[in-house]
Amino acid sequence: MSMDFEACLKVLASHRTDEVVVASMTPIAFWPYLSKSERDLLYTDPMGSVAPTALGIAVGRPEVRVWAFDGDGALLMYLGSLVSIGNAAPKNLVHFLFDNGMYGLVGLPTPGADRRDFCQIARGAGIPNVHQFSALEDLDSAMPTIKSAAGPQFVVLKVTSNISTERGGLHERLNTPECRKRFGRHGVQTLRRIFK
Amino acid sequence: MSNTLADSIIANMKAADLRYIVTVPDSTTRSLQRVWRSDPYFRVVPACHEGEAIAVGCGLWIAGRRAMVVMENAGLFQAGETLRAMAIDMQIPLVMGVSYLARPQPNLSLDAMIEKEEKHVGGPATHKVQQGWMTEPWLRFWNVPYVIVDAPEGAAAVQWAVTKAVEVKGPVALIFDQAVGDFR
Repeated sequence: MSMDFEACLKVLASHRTDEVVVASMTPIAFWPYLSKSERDLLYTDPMGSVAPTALGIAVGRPEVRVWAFDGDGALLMYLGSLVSIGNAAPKNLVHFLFDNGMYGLVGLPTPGADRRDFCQIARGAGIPNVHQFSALEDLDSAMPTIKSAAGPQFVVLKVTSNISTERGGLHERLNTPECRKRFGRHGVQTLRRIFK
Repeated sequence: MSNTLADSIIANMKAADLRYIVTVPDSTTRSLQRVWRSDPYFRVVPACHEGEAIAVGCGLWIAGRRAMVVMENAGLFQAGETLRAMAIDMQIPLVMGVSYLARPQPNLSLDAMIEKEEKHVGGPATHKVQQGWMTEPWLRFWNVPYVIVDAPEGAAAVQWAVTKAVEVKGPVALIFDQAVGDFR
Protein backbone atom coordinates (compact mmCIF):
# COMPACT_ATOMS: atom_id res chain seq x y z
CA MET A 1 0.00 0.00 0.00
CA SER A 2 1.22 3.51 -0.72
CA MET A 3 -0.11 7.05 -0.50
CA ASP A 4 -1.00 9.47 -3.26
CA PHE A 5 1.91 11.90 -3.57
CA GLU A 6 -0.12 15.09 -3.49
CA ALA A 7 -2.47 13.85 -0.77
CA CYS A 8 0.55 13.07 1.37
CA LEU A 9 1.89 16.61 0.95
CA LYS A 10 -1.58 17.96 1.81
CA VAL A 11 -1.37 16.15 5.16
CA LEU A 12 2.03 17.73 5.84
CA ALA A 13 0.74 21.16 4.77
CA SER A 14 -2.18 20.86 7.18
CA HIS A 15 0.23 20.37 10.11
CA ARG A 16 2.88 22.87 9.05
CA THR A 17 3.06 26.09 11.03
CA ASP A 18 6.32 28.06 11.08
CA GLU A 19 8.79 25.34 10.07
CA VAL A 20 11.36 26.14 7.40
CA VAL A 21 10.78 23.75 4.49
CA VAL A 22 13.64 22.85 2.15
CA ALA A 23 12.24 20.91 -0.80
CA SER A 24 13.49 19.59 -4.09
CA MET A 25 12.46 17.39 -7.01
CA THR A 26 8.92 15.92 -7.21
CA PRO A 27 7.58 17.45 -3.95
CA ILE A 28 8.04 20.93 -5.40
CA ALA A 29 5.64 20.06 -8.22
CA PHE A 30 2.89 20.21 -5.60
CA TRP A 31 4.12 22.20 -2.63
CA PRO A 32 3.75 25.73 -4.08
CA TYR A 33 0.02 24.98 -4.53
CA LEU A 34 -0.29 23.91 -0.89
CA SER A 35 1.92 26.42 0.92
CA LYS A 36 2.22 30.18 0.63
CA SER A 37 4.91 30.47 3.30
CA GLU A 38 7.97 32.61 2.69
CA ARG A 39 9.84 30.04 4.80
CA ASP A 40 9.96 27.65 1.84
CA LEU A 41 13.15 27.09 -0.13
CA LEU A 42 12.41 25.23 -3.36
CA TYR A 43 14.93 24.12 -5.95
CA THR A 44 15.78 21.32 -8.35
CA ASP A 45 19.61 21.10 -8.51
CA PRO A 46 21.76 19.51 -7.26
CA MET A 47 20.04 16.24 -6.48
CA GLY A 48 20.68 14.99 -2.97
CA SER A 49 21.48 18.34 -1.43
CA VAL A 50 18.19 18.91 0.40
CA ALA A 51 19.14 16.94 3.50
CA PRO A 52 22.61 18.51 3.98
CA THR A 53 21.24 22.00 3.27
CA ALA A 54 18.52 21.47 5.85
CA LEU A 55 21.18 20.15 8.23
CA GLY A 56 23.14 23.38 7.85
CA ILE A 57 20.08 25.51 8.56
CA ALA A 58 19.11 23.35 11.53
CA VAL A 59 22.60 23.53 13.06
CA GLY A 60 22.79 27.26 12.46
CA ARG A 61 19.34 27.97 13.91
CA PRO A 62 18.59 25.45 16.67
CA GLU A 63 15.55 27.50 17.71
CA VAL A 64 13.88 26.97 14.30
CA ARG A 65 12.28 23.70 13.25
CA VAL A 66 13.39 22.56 9.81
CA TRP A 67 11.69 20.09 7.48
CA ALA A 68 13.51 18.56 4.52
CA PHE A 69 11.42 17.10 1.65
CA ASP A 70 13.65 14.62 -0.13
CA GLY A 71 13.17 11.97 -2.79
CA ASP A 72 14.55 8.43 -2.77
CA GLY A 73 16.57 8.90 -5.95
CA ALA A 74 18.00 12.17 -4.68
CA LEU A 75 18.91 10.82 -1.25
CA LEU A 76 20.78 7.93 -2.87
CA MET A 77 23.08 10.50 -4.48
CA TYR A 78 24.27 11.71 -1.05
CA LEU A 79 23.37 8.77 1.16
CA GLY A 80 26.22 9.70 3.49
CA SER A 81 24.22 12.75 4.53
CA LEU A 82 22.20 10.43 6.79
CA VAL A 83 25.41 9.69 8.70
CA SER A 84 26.24 13.40 8.87
CA ILE A 85 22.77 14.12 10.27
CA GLY A 86 23.02 11.25 12.76
CA ASN A 87 26.40 12.56 13.87
CA ALA A 88 25.39 16.23 14.19
CA ALA A 89 22.09 15.16 15.78
CA PRO A 90 20.12 18.41 15.40
CA LYS A 91 17.03 18.22 17.57
CA ASN A 92 15.10 20.53 15.24
CA LEU A 93 15.37 18.59 11.98
CA VAL A 94 12.77 16.30 10.41
CA HIS A 95 13.87 14.63 7.19
CA PHE A 96 10.87 13.44 5.15
CA LEU A 97 11.71 10.98 2.39
CA PHE A 98 9.17 10.53 -0.41
CA ASP A 99 9.90 7.00 -1.51
CA ASN A 100 8.19 5.91 -4.72
CA GLY A 101 11.04 3.84 -6.11
CA MET A 102 11.21 6.08 -9.15
CA TYR A 103 13.14 8.99 -10.56
CA GLY A 104 9.93 10.97 -10.96
CA LEU A 105 11.16 13.29 -13.67
CA VAL A 106 12.66 10.60 -15.89
CA GLY A 107 10.37 7.69 -15.11
CA LEU A 108 13.07 5.15 -14.33
CA PRO A 109 13.35 2.99 -11.19
CA THR A 110 15.78 4.01 -8.48
CA PRO A 111 18.50 1.46 -7.63
CA GLY A 112 17.41 -1.29 -5.26
CA ALA A 113 13.81 -0.08 -5.27
CA ASP A 114 12.48 -3.58 -4.56
CA ARG A 115 14.96 -4.52 -1.82
CA ARG A 116 16.43 -1.56 0.04
CA ASP A 117 15.13 -0.40 3.43
CA PHE A 118 15.68 3.27 4.17
CA CYS A 119 14.51 2.90 7.77
CA GLN A 120 17.26 0.39 8.47
CA ILE A 121 19.79 2.56 6.69
CA ALA A 122 18.77 5.59 8.76
CA ARG A 123 18.91 3.68 12.06
CA GLY A 124 22.30 2.32 11.05
CA ALA A 125 23.42 5.87 10.32
CA GLY A 126 22.72 6.85 13.92
CA ILE A 127 19.26 8.40 13.58
CA PRO A 128 17.22 6.85 16.37
CA ASN A 129 13.83 8.39 15.63
CA VAL A 130 12.65 6.70 12.44
CA HIS A 131 9.12 6.28 11.08
CA GLN A 132 7.51 4.87 7.96
CA PHE A 133 3.99 5.53 6.70
CA SER A 134 2.01 4.12 3.82
CA ALA A 135 -1.48 5.27 4.88
CA LEU A 136 -2.58 8.90 5.01
CA GLU A 137 -4.59 8.52 8.20
CA ASP A 138 -1.61 7.03 10.04
CA LEU A 139 0.60 9.90 8.92
CA ASP A 140 -2.05 12.44 9.92
CA SER A 141 -2.37 10.88 13.40
CA ALA A 142 1.38 10.81 13.95
CA MET A 143 2.15 14.33 12.76
CA PRO A 144 1.46 16.13 16.08
CA THR A 145 4.05 13.88 17.74
CA ILE A 146 6.53 14.25 14.88
CA LYS A 147 6.14 18.02 15.03
CA SER A 148 6.98 18.24 18.70
CA ALA A 149 9.43 15.36 19.22
CA ALA A 150 13.16 15.92 19.46
CA GLY A 151 15.09 15.12 16.31
CA PRO A 152 16.75 14.28 14.23
CA GLN A 153 13.80 12.38 12.82
CA PHE A 154 13.65 10.45 9.58
CA VAL A 155 10.22 9.80 8.10
CA VAL A 156 9.79 7.51 5.10
CA LEU A 157 6.60 8.21 3.16
CA LYS A 158 5.69 5.41 0.78
CA VAL A 159 4.02 7.20 -2.10
CA THR A 160 2.72 6.25 -5.52
CA SER A 161 4.78 6.87 -8.61
CA ASN A 162 1.72 7.99 -10.57
CA ILE A 163 1.84 11.74 -10.68
CA SER A 164 -0.98 13.75 -12.17
CA THR A 165 -0.05 15.89 -15.14
CA GLU A 166 -3.21 17.93 -14.68
CA ARG A 167 -1.16 21.08 -14.03
CA GLY A 168 1.46 20.27 -16.62
CA GLY A 169 5.07 19.21 -16.22
CA LEU A 170 7.44 20.33 -13.49
CA HIS A 171 8.66 23.47 -15.24
CA GLU A 172 5.13 24.63 -16.03
CA ARG A 173 4.16 24.05 -12.42
CA LEU A 174 7.11 26.08 -11.20
CA ASN A 175 6.44 28.92 -13.59
CA THR A 176 4.14 30.86 -11.28
CA PRO A 177 4.98 34.03 -9.34
CA GLU A 178 4.20 32.26 -6.06
CA CYS A 179 6.72 29.54 -6.82
CA ARG A 180 9.36 31.77 -8.41
CA LYS A 181 9.70 33.95 -5.35
CA ARG A 182 10.60 30.91 -3.25
CA PHE A 183 12.68 29.17 -5.92
CA GLY A 184 16.48 29.04 -5.82
CA ARG A 185 18.21 32.37 -5.21
CA HIS A 186 14.90 34.13 -4.44
CA GLY A 187 14.09 31.65 -1.67
CA VAL A 188 17.64 31.95 -0.35
CA GLN A 189 17.39 35.73 -0.32
CA THR A 190 14.12 35.61 1.64
CA LEU A 191 15.45 33.16 4.22
CA ARG A 192 18.66 35.16 4.65
CA ARG A 193 16.55 38.27 5.28
CA ILE A 194 14.47 36.38 7.87
CA PHE A 195 17.58 35.12 9.65
CA LYS A 196 19.50 38.40 9.49
CA MET B 1 55.55 22.68 18.20
CA SER B 2 53.56 25.76 17.35
CA ASN B 3 52.99 27.21 13.93
CA THR B 4 52.53 30.93 13.63
CA LEU B 5 50.70 30.58 10.31
CA ALA B 6 48.09 28.26 11.82
CA ASP B 7 47.86 30.45 14.91
CA SER B 8 47.23 33.44 12.65
CA ILE B 9 44.51 31.58 10.77
CA ILE B 10 42.74 30.74 14.04
CA ALA B 11 43.03 34.33 15.27
CA ASN B 12 41.70 35.72 12.02
CA MET B 13 38.82 33.26 11.98
CA LYS B 14 37.79 34.50 15.41
CA ALA B 15 38.15 38.12 14.32
CA ALA B 16 35.87 37.38 11.34
CA ASP B 17 33.33 35.47 13.48
CA LEU B 18 33.94 32.47 11.23
CA ARG B 19 33.02 29.83 13.76
CA TYR B 20 31.29 27.02 11.83
CA ILE B 21 33.60 24.53 10.12
CA VAL B 22 32.16 21.97 7.72
CA THR B 23 34.77 19.44 6.80
CA VAL B 24 35.74 16.18 5.23
CA PRO B 25 39.03 14.42 6.04
CA ASP B 26 42.05 16.46 5.02
CA SER B 27 45.69 15.86 5.87
CA THR B 28 46.92 19.46 5.52
CA THR B 29 44.49 20.91 8.04
CA ARG B 30 44.51 17.89 10.32
CA SER B 31 46.16 19.83 13.11
CA LEU B 32 43.95 22.86 12.62
CA GLN B 33 40.98 20.54 12.82
CA ARG B 34 42.14 19.40 16.25
CA VAL B 35 42.00 23.04 17.39
CA TRP B 36 38.60 23.60 15.79
CA ARG B 37 37.26 20.51 17.57
CA SER B 38 38.73 21.33 20.99
CA ASP B 39 38.13 25.09 21.14
CA PRO B 40 34.51 25.72 22.23
CA TYR B 41 34.45 28.85 20.08
CA PHE B 42 34.18 26.66 16.99
CA ARG B 43 31.45 24.26 15.90
CA VAL B 44 32.61 21.52 13.57
CA VAL B 45 30.10 19.72 11.35
CA PRO B 46 31.76 16.69 9.73
CA ALA B 47 30.42 15.65 6.32
CA CYS B 48 30.93 12.48 4.29
CA HIS B 49 31.48 13.99 0.84
CA GLU B 50 32.73 17.32 -0.44
CA GLY B 51 29.52 18.14 -2.32
CA GLU B 52 27.51 17.38 0.77
CA ALA B 53 29.84 19.63 2.77
CA ILE B 54 29.17 22.51 0.36
CA ALA B 55 25.41 22.05 0.87
CA VAL B 56 25.78 22.04 4.68
CA GLY B 57 27.90 25.19 4.44
CA CYS B 58 25.29 26.85 2.21
CA GLY B 59 22.60 25.93 4.74
CA LEU B 60 24.61 27.61 7.50
CA TRP B 61 25.04 30.80 5.45
CA ILE B 62 21.31 30.75 4.61
CA ALA B 63 20.72 30.57 8.36
CA GLY B 64 22.83 33.72 8.76
CA ARG B 65 25.91 31.93 10.12
CA ARG B 66 29.45 32.28 8.84
CA ALA B 67 30.88 28.94 7.82
CA MET B 68 34.05 27.67 6.17
CA VAL B 69 33.94 24.44 4.18
CA VAL B 70 37.31 22.72 4.38
CA MET B 71 38.56 20.16 1.88
CA GLU B 72 41.57 19.11 -0.18
CA ASN B 73 41.94 20.52 -3.67
CA ALA B 74 40.88 17.16 -5.12
CA GLY B 75 37.63 17.54 -3.20
CA LEU B 76 37.00 20.83 -4.93
CA PHE B 77 36.64 19.00 -8.23
CA GLN B 78 34.37 16.45 -6.59
CA ALA B 79 32.14 19.20 -5.19
CA GLY B 80 31.80 21.10 -8.46
CA GLU B 81 28.13 20.54 -9.23
CA THR B 82 26.95 21.45 -5.75
CA LEU B 83 29.16 24.52 -5.78
CA ARG B 84 27.73 25.59 -9.14
CA ALA B 85 24.07 24.88 -8.47
CA MET B 86 24.01 26.19 -4.92
CA ALA B 87 26.67 28.72 -3.97
CA ILE B 88 27.05 30.16 -7.48
CA ASP B 89 23.54 29.89 -8.96
CA MET B 90 21.63 30.56 -5.75
CA GLN B 91 24.05 33.39 -4.89
CA ILE B 92 24.98 32.10 -1.45
CA PRO B 93 28.09 33.56 0.20
CA LEU B 94 30.47 30.76 1.12
CA VAL B 95 34.05 30.56 2.35
CA MET B 96 36.03 27.51 1.30
CA GLY B 97 39.33 26.45 2.85
CA VAL B 98 41.13 24.39 0.22
CA SER B 99 44.33 22.52 0.99
CA TYR B 100 46.93 22.98 -1.71
CA LEU B 101 48.31 19.51 -2.28
CA ALA B 102 51.06 19.32 -4.92
CA ARG B 103 51.28 23.07 -5.37
CA PRO B 104 52.99 23.87 -8.69
CA GLN B 105 56.46 25.31 -8.33
CA PRO B 106 57.62 28.33 -10.29
CA ASN B 107 59.64 27.53 -13.40
CA LEU B 108 58.83 23.81 -13.29
CA SER B 109 56.84 22.25 -16.13
CA LEU B 110 54.17 19.64 -15.46
CA ASP B 111 56.54 16.86 -16.53
CA ALA B 112 59.31 18.24 -14.32
CA MET B 113 56.89 18.41 -11.39
CA ILE B 114 55.88 14.79 -11.96
CA GLU B 115 59.50 13.66 -12.12
CA LYS B 116 60.36 15.54 -8.95
CA GLU B 117 57.29 14.29 -7.07
CA GLU B 118 57.81 10.68 -8.14
CA LYS B 119 61.37 10.82 -6.83
CA HIS B 120 60.08 12.31 -3.60
CA VAL B 121 57.33 9.77 -2.92
CA GLY B 122 59.09 6.81 -4.53
CA GLY B 123 56.13 5.83 -6.69
CA PRO B 124 53.51 6.99 -9.16
CA ALA B 125 52.50 10.62 -8.61
CA THR B 126 50.92 11.89 -11.82
CA HIS B 127 47.47 11.96 -10.19
CA LYS B 128 48.72 14.06 -7.31
CA VAL B 129 50.59 16.54 -9.49
CA GLN B 130 47.56 16.96 -11.77
CA GLN B 131 45.52 17.75 -8.68
CA GLY B 132 47.77 20.67 -7.81
CA TRP B 133 48.25 21.72 -11.42
CA MET B 134 44.51 22.16 -12.02
CA THR B 135 43.58 23.88 -8.78
CA GLU B 136 44.03 27.55 -9.64
CA PRO B 137 42.87 27.27 -13.28
CA TRP B 138 39.76 25.46 -12.01
CA LEU B 139 38.94 28.27 -9.57
CA ARG B 140 39.56 30.93 -12.23
CA PHE B 141 37.33 29.08 -14.70
CA TRP B 142 34.50 29.08 -12.15
CA ASN B 143 35.12 32.76 -11.33
CA VAL B 144 35.80 31.93 -7.70
CA PRO B 145 37.98 34.64 -6.07
CA TYR B 146 40.86 33.10 -4.11
CA VAL B 147 43.96 33.87 -2.10
CA ILE B 148 46.83 31.53 -1.27
CA VAL B 149 47.56 31.53 2.44
CA ASP B 150 51.19 30.53 2.97
CA ALA B 151 52.61 33.00 5.49
CA PRO B 152 51.38 34.39 8.82
CA GLU B 153 50.96 37.88 7.40
CA GLY B 154 48.70 36.41 4.73
CA ALA B 155 46.26 34.95 7.23
CA ALA B 156 44.34 38.22 7.29
CA ALA B 157 42.92 36.93 4.01
CA VAL B 158 40.50 34.97 6.19
CA GLN B 159 38.73 38.22 7.02
CA TRP B 160 38.95 39.32 3.39
CA ALA B 161 37.27 36.05 2.33
CA VAL B 162 34.24 36.63 4.53
CA THR B 163 33.78 40.20 3.30
CA LYS B 164 34.34 39.17 -0.32
CA ALA B 165 31.89 36.24 -0.16
CA VAL B 166 29.16 38.58 1.10
CA GLU B 167 30.07 41.19 -1.50
CA VAL B 168 30.02 38.82 -4.50
CA LYS B 169 27.18 36.67 -3.09
CA GLY B 170 29.06 33.53 -3.92
CA PRO B 171 31.97 31.26 -3.05
CA VAL B 172 35.45 32.51 -2.17
CA ALA B 173 38.44 30.22 -1.61
CA LEU B 174 41.36 30.38 0.79
CA ILE B 175 44.00 28.01 -0.51
CA PHE B 176 45.98 26.62 2.39
CA ASP B 177 49.60 25.90 1.53
CA GLN B 178 51.23 22.83 3.06
CA ALA B 179 52.99 25.18 5.50
CA VAL B 180 49.71 25.19 7.43
CA GLY B 181 50.29 21.51 8.20
CA ASP B 182 53.20 21.66 10.65
CA PHE B 183 51.33 22.54 13.74
CA ARG B 184 51.33 21.29 17.29
